This record gives sequence, structure tokens and C-alpha cells, in this order.
Amino acid sequence: MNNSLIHKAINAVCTKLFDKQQQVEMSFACLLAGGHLLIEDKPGLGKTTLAGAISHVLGLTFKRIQLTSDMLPSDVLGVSIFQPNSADFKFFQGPIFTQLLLADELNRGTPRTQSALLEAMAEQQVSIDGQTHQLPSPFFVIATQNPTDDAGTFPLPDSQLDRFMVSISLGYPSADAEKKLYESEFLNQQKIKLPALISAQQLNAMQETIAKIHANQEVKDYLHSLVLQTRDNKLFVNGLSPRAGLALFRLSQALAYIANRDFVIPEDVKKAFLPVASHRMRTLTTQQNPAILLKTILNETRIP
Amino acid sequence: MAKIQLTKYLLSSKQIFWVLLSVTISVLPHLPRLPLWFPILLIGVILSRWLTAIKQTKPLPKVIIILITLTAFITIVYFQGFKLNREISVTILAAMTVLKILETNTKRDAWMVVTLCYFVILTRFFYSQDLLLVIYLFLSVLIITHTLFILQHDNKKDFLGKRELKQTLGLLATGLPLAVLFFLFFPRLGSPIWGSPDFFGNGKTGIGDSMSPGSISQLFSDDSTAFRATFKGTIPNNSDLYWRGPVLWDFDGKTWNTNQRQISKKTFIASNDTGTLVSYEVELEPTGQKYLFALDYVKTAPTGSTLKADQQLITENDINQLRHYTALSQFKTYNSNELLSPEDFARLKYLPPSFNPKTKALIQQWQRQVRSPLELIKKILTHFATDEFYYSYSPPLLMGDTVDQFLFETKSGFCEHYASAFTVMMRAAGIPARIVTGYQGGILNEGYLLVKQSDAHAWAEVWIQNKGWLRVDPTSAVSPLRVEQGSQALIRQNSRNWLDNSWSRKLGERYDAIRHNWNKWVREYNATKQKAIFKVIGFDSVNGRAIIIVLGTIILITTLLVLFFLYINRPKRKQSPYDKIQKKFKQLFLKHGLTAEENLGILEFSKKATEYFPQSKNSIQQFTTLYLRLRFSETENKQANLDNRLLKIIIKIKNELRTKDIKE
Repeated sequence: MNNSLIHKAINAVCTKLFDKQQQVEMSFACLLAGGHLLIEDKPGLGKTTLAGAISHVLGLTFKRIQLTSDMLPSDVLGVSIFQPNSADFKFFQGPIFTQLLLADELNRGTPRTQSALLEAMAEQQVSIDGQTHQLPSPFFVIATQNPTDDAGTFPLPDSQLDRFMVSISLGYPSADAEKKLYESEFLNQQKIKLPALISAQQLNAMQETIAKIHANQEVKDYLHSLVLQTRDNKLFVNGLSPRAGLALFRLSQALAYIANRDFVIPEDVKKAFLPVASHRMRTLTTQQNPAILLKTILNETRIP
Repeated sequence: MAKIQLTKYLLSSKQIFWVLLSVTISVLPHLPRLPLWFPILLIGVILSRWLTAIKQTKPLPKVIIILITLTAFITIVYFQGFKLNREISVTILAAMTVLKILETNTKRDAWMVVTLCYFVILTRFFYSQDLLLVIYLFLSVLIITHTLFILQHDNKKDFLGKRELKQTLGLLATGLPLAVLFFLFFPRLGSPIWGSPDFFGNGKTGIGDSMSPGSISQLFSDDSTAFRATFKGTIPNNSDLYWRGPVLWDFDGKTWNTNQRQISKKTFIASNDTGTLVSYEVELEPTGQKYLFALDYVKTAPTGSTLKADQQLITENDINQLRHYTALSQFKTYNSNELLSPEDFARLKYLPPSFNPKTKALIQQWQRQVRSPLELIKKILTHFATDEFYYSYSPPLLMGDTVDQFLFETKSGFCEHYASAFTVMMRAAGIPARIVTGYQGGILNEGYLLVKQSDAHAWAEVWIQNKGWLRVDPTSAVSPLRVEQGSQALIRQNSRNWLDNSWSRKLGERYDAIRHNWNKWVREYNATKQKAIFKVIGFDSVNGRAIIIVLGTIILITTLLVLFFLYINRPKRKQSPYDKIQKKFKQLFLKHGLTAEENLGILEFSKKATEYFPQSKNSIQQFTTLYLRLRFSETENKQANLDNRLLKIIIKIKNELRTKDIKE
């Protein structure tokens, strides 16, 4: 098994985003596992930079939409326009017809637009005017949202959040890394567009390899016990769904691939647990932070 | 993290419900003896807490809780007086336990309240050790302990499942042997604690110090136990079982009363009567009065009581607790050891002047026909037996000249009607007579004589010149069955109400037998009996040393047993060989000063270990890679060479770490 290609891509992205090796790895793992990525953070922490860098490195067709409250579903999906010459309707594809879509500030869009986008994400196809249009493959969505900025936003319901396999937050860079930003050398480097390192075919091949990565019974038991505990804990509104459990499994496989192993170890699951679970869980009262509760679960479950 | 800690200790509404239930159940048996405002406080506090739990509103402000508590405290002290006695202490304990509910917000509070409930329950035993109460308290202890269990298990959905209840029962069962041993060996008070009247299943009606028509017949429907008697030898015939209680001297035309005048002991005169002696032990249920019941005629008074000249046994205090006494009686026809003064004779012949003229006339007519008092007695009894008199426990009500009405009109009555009529007739003839109340008969129940309230009876005593008191039971003339076979024979013939059948009576008698044994083995377990047990195990006297040795041994043995069972049932975590070897690996570094959280995956651990022991970097990596490959990969042959290869690396690391130590 050779995963040097993916490491090359990860390292390339890391030149754009200092000190965020883990988050970059997690983003790649998510894409390798075939899931959509949600980046939740405050403005100015490099959400868009990360999404852009990934799209460049992957050599996929890339489009970006900035969601606003006056955006309509047709602005995302495309629109059929009457052609006077042929007396016919012609479908003009919207920005969603791309291999990698960056949906910036997802929670600023109206529920209607959000819904249209998220439907497309789930079905990998778009139905307009009775016609079904297949989306390209691979198809990834990287969405960002700013959780603290409440005014004029439409928070995504739980069922929609479930469509994202992974959520990450970037956080502030370390002091050294942040100071590096001010250097002119870095600023110049930022302007250079990253070359495409992985082709769509190569990506497909990797995904096939990852799907075959082995996980033995012990690992599966550990994974399942984590999922069960989110369901048993009465402080949560709901536990993790089977879909979420499957996502956790796929992400663990992808992480094992990045770590150059052909088998999953419990620590892959442990690593994947928070990114998969934290945006899916809601606590009964606002006093509790789901991430902290999930960490307690991780600490209290014996790792094999 | 602080926030989680807090939520971990918050109570769910289900848990609050159980805490409220525990408090209610433990305070409930206290209610009859607590002040009247207490139930209102209880209901108010519980409702308010329950509402807070359901609506998830904020608890009452601290200031208000403090105010309520102070008010309750002052009210208690105001009404019960400021003194440190048992009454006030128990009231304060109960009140504060109830009030603590108001500020029960976290688990710690709940544990405290529930633990207090045990104490509240315990204090109930100050007032009674009745079997019924003990059963109730056992059930409440079960509920309280289950509440503790529920407080421990947040995530349980089903609190009343078989497994959950089994766990609580198991917990209680574990404590049982210890409780029994402490019961046997813990130092006991020489005398029982005398208390105020008890309300738990007691405070019943019984024979009192006055009698009017209807007062005894109403007891006929009461099957509760009056007392139990255990005879040394064979049980005498039913017709000899006259259990003497209050003796009634004074008649006001309707009601008979006891002799309020003090009769000094000196009025006894020695007699050398001969008659069968019978010795027996009586276990008297609380009556709230001062009378002891004993067979006619008492030879010696039981300890703690005085034998009055008219053969009444009187105690110093009201009998509010189960009372045990041994008595010696002698059967005889005439009782002559009572010295009567002229005033006494006057009282014994007195009748209210204008009452019952018909009776008086009849007696004057009969007196002319007979020559001696004995003949008159016989004539009256024959009249009762031959004329149309009926024995009935629900006779018509009598007004005005009750004896006239009874003798000439209704002709239907219970024992008190016949005894009263007979005594009035005797007095009308100028013969001294009085009424004795008590019980007659009893049924043999599993080795002892069970006397129920329905055995209550009244009979007459007539003074025969030169011979003494003669017992005359006019009831025997009307209903010989009542005296020869007891009231139970009557009940068997005619049931008193729709609930009355032999099956329910049997059940009651069976229950009484259990109570009797309970009283005998538990309530009457006193210092003397304890001394005997100490003697059995080799201590001649119950002194501090003996108690310390015995209790110490019990505690030691129990602790060892508990530890033993804990060891046997210790949770066996399935430990695979991989777990063992991982532990060994981690131990290497922990021994050399590495600190790490317990639940760390092996990769994270190795990373940390490499930071601290960089010289072993290669070996650590070698171990980790091999370990993970062996344990989790698909291709490796699982068991082969497992220990060997990994152990070899461990030994290598061990040496590396040791050389590092030496170098330093």
C-alpha cells in the first residue's frame, strides 16, 4: 500500500495553513471516506484558505458559492431558460455542478436554499423541472459556518447537519505560526496557487483501497460501545444514528490509510469520534457543551 | 469541566419522586403523635418540591427556606416546651427531614435526606415494637434503600425491574445477619422504655371503669386481642375462666361505676381457703388504663401492681405498652377475705330511690315467697331461664327505667343487661351485690389461650352472710352456651356481620399467634435473656469487656466475610493476552517516572514515552508497530510467537531504561 501521494497533498496544504496538520489530515480523511466536510469557526481563521487549498491540490473542478439570505435554490442548482430560437427550455447548470463545492457561510442561506443544497449532497443529483441531472463524481462539499454570529442566520436543523460526515474547527494558530504570517516570504507564497497533485482517478482508487481496510471485532466493539454510550446518556437529546456510526467507521478507515496501515486500530476510532459526533449531538440544556460530554465518554470507555 | 460535574449530581424528576416517597413513608407512622400542623407542612413541602421538579422552576430562595425552618422550629418549641426530651427531639428530626426536601437539589442533598429517613424510621421504635409496625417499617426500609439505589443509577430506564429490586433486596439481606447478631448481643436496657399511648393499631376500645347497657355488647363485634394467657399446666374449663377486671359498685340508674373511694389494703382478712391453684402468664395488649386481668380469685398480685380488697389488680401507670405479668389464682366458690365496713354495705345496697319501681315491687313480692338469699337467687335465675328472655348482642335501646324496661318489655339483652338487672334485683331485696366486668373464656390458639375483646363479659357478685362473695352469672341462665363454651361458640352459630366467617377468624387467630411469638422472642428479649445467651458462649457476666469482645468479633467476622465475597465476586474484566502485555509495556515506563492518564491508547502512550525516553525510541516504535499489527491486522497469524516477540522487545526496553538509570 502506498499512501505517499496523499501525504504529499497534505504537506502541500500545510504550507498554506501553518500548524494545522491535524485538521488538514482530518479534512483529507473526510474526503477520502467520501463524506462532506463542515468547518465551523470564527471569521479569519483560514476556513476558506483550507477549502481552497484542498480543492487545488486535488485537481478537481472547483466552484464556490457565498450563501446569503436573498439567494434562491436556482442560484445554486441552475435554471431552465426559454430559448426563443428553438422554442425550448435549456438548462443552465448552477455552481453545484462541480467536483468540489465550497459553500461559504452556509447558515446565512435561507432554509429553502440550504435544503436544495443539502438534498443534492445526499442524492448526488439535482432534479429540476422534472428532469434529473447527475452531479459529477467525485462530489464533495466543504461548507463553512460561523457559529457565534447569530444575527440573520438560519441555523441548520439536526437532520441537515447529519449530512456532513465531519466537522472541524481550526482555532487560533500557535504564537510562532501566527508570527510567521507577518513575514513577506509567506505572503508571497500565499499567492502561488498549489499545483494539482491528485487526479480524480487516483482519488477513486484510494477510496477503493480505503473501503477494504480491515477492522477486527475488538475495534468494531469499541466503536459500537462509543455509539451506544451517546444513546444511553440522558443529557443528550438523541444518540448517534446508525448513519453516524457508519461515518465513524469510514472515517476511521481513512485515518488508518493516512497512517499507512491496512487495518484500523482503536485509536483511529478515538481520533475520529469527536469530528464525527460533535456537530450531531445536542444537549438538553444549553449549559452543557456536547464536545465536553463526548470527551468524557472517550475518557471513560476503556480502549482496547 | 465544572459544569459537567454539576450536572452529574443533579436529580431527575424520577429520582426526586422517590426521595419524596421515602420521606413521606418514613414520616407517616409518626403523624398521629405529631402536632396537627405537621401533615399540612408535609403536604405543602412535598407539593411545592414536586411542582418545582415538574416545571423545572427555580427552587425557593434561601431566605424563605430559612424563614420556614425557623418558624417550624419556634412552633415546635412553643407548643412542646423547650426541653431536651424524646418527644421534642423526634418532632424536630421529623420536621427538619421534611423541610430538607425544599433544598434538595443535588444528589448529595438527596443522599442526606434519604439517610435521615432511616433515623426517622428508627425513632418510631421508641413508641412501639408491635409486629404490624415492624412489618411496615421493613417495607419502608426497602423503599428507602431502593431510593438510594435509584440515586446511584442515573441512566436506568426501569427502576422497578426484577434485577433492580433483586439488588436492593440483596443489599438488605446482607445486613440481616448483622442486625440479628447485634440484636442478640448489643447491651439492653433492664426495663422497657415506657412511652405515651401508641396509635399504631392500638388505642382500641376495651373494658373500662364504667358500664352501661351496650358498652359490652359493642365489644362483641371486636375480634382484636385483649390478652393472651399461657398456663403452666392444663387449661381450666371454659366455665371457670372468669377474667376479673374492674369491679363496679355504684349505680346511678343507668351506668355502673367503680368504687372511687380508696380501699386500704388492711381491709383484707386472712383466709385459709382450699381450692385448685392455677398459675399462668398473661401478655396484655395496651389498654390505656390501669387494670390488669386475672382469674378469680387472685392469690398474689403480680409485680408492679396492687391487689385491691375487691380483688381488682391496679397498676401504677397506664398500660400503654404490651404488659407481661405472672399471676397465681385459686378457684373457690366463696371469697371471704374482704372486710366490709358498714358504709361499704350501704353502698352495696344502694339504689337510686325513684328508679325502676316495677322491679322493686316484683322483688318485694318474691321476697315473701323465699326464705334465704340463695333461694331468691335461684328464683331469679329460673325466671331468666324459663321466661322468654333472649340473649342478643344487638338489643333494643333502653331509656329511663332501664331495668324495668328490660325485665318487663324488651326481655332481650347482652351480659351487661342481665348482670345489671340481677344486681339491681339483689339490691332491691337488700342483699349486698355488685357487678364485675372482665372477660370470660378464651380460645386455645397454638398453645396459649387467646382472649379477644369479643370475650368481654359482665357478671354479678352477691354477698352471702357468713360465707363471703358468691359469683353469680345470670348470663349462664339465659345462654348456657356462652359460659360453657365461650363467646366463640355463639359467633359460630350466628355470624355478626357479612365479613364474619370462620375463615377470616382463623386468619386473625393465626396472625395473633405470630404476634405472640414476636412478642415472646423479640419484644420480651431482655437483659436477663441476654445474660443467658452470654453464658452459653462463655461469659459469666455481661460487662463492658464481654460486650466489646463479642461485638468486636461480630464486626471482625462480618468485615472479613464481606471482603471475602467482594473478592470472590470482583468484577472480572476479560483480559486478553494483549491487554496483559500492553499493561506490562506501560508499566515499564510508569515505573521509571512517566505519568500518563489511565485510558490512553498505546499509540498515544508510546508517543509520550518517546518524549521522555528518547534513547528507547526505536524499541518503543518496534513494539508499538508489532503490537498493533499482531492485535488488529487481518494478515498476521494471531497467536504464534506473540509472547515471544513482544516480550523480547520489552526486555530490551527494560535494559535500555536500566542503563539510563545507571548512567544518571
